[in-house]
Amino acid sequence: MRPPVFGGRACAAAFLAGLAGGGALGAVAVAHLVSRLQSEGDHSRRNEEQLLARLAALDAAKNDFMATVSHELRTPLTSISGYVELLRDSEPEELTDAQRRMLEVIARNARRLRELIEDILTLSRIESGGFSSEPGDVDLAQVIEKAVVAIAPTAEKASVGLHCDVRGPLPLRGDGMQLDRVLANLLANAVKFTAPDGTVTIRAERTGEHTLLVVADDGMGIPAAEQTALFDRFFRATNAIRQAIPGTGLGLAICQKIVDNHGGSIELASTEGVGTTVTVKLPL
Amino acid sequence: MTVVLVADDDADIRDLVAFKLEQAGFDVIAVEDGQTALEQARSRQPTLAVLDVSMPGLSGIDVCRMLRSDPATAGILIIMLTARVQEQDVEGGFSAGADDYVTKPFSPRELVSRIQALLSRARA
Repeated sequence: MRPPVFGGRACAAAFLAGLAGGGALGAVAVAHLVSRLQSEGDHSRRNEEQLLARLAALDAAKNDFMATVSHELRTPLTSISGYVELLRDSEPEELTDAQRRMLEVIARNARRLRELIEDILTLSRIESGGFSSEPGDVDLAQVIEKAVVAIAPTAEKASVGLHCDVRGPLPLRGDGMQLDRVLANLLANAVKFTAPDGTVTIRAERTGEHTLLVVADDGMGIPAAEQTALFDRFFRATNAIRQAIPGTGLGLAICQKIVDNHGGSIELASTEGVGTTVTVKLPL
Repeated sequence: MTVVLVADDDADIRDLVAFKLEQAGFDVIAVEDGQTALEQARSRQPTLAVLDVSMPGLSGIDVCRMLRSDPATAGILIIMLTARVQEQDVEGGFSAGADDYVTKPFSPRELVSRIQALLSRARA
């Protein structure tokens, strides 16, 4: 398999994203299969079944490949981050301040690589399989509570207040683990992009046939011109990059895919310097 | 001194774990494949074994299962190291009898605390 040629720094990442599913490679393979079948001029049911079987096999091969790639990447990453940890744990007099700063940069980038690997793998799994398991009964109020407990130490460290207005229980049909991920990503974003003494508000309630979830912050916001691209993979707002706020650019793409899988909708409203509000609507 | 067996086919990771464990005061036996791990476990009777899941030949899971099925080695505490995070892999490790699971990339510091936690739980 040959990586497509991209300009810019996201080349390798975009290649991996293509592999992660729904991307250029998958589309090319599907188009190839379809055109081959059509050129044979045979639209019989048998061929359709064969096509479906081929697509399923392709999907399974892709998943397998992604699992292997992720495994192969994790192993060298273990050595990089592990040895950096050993160095950073050494006695104070053994390293100069400049060396410690360099190690800090290596550690931070190893962490970023790790997050990228995890997010790409997650996206791949969500895109190919839809639900990782059979959808079950989920109480969104509990999902929210769990996510709030998990983010609380980070919020406290950043001096960001968390305000919860959740009228539970909020039962719905869905995949609990995937919804955990949506909440974790949305709350992590809200806290990350909010300045000290700011507030993140989480509101959830049942409205008619939907469960409504709103995560609002009074943080840095997203420039108006960039808001439509926010759900694109690897897209990161310029103000986030400028301020060196870490992130993979995959979080919202993952959220959108999961919400799609649940038959729901996700919308984002933001004003630069004022804050961002993400609204998720999930069917019951 | 507590004897710990470390099995990983990746030399860098094997050295990393061995170094950190020796620093933490353990007597470390480091081996590079499942077969040697099994032999060393039988002859040296370590208190605990850190086994990489994916090794050529006998995998960590195979070694784990074989140690558990032999009364002479069934009592060895086992921590599995894996780069795979799929739920079924974790379940596979636990059903083979592992006591704990650490996913790569892991922090050597965290691995040591997991080992210590397991040892104190076993002593209690």
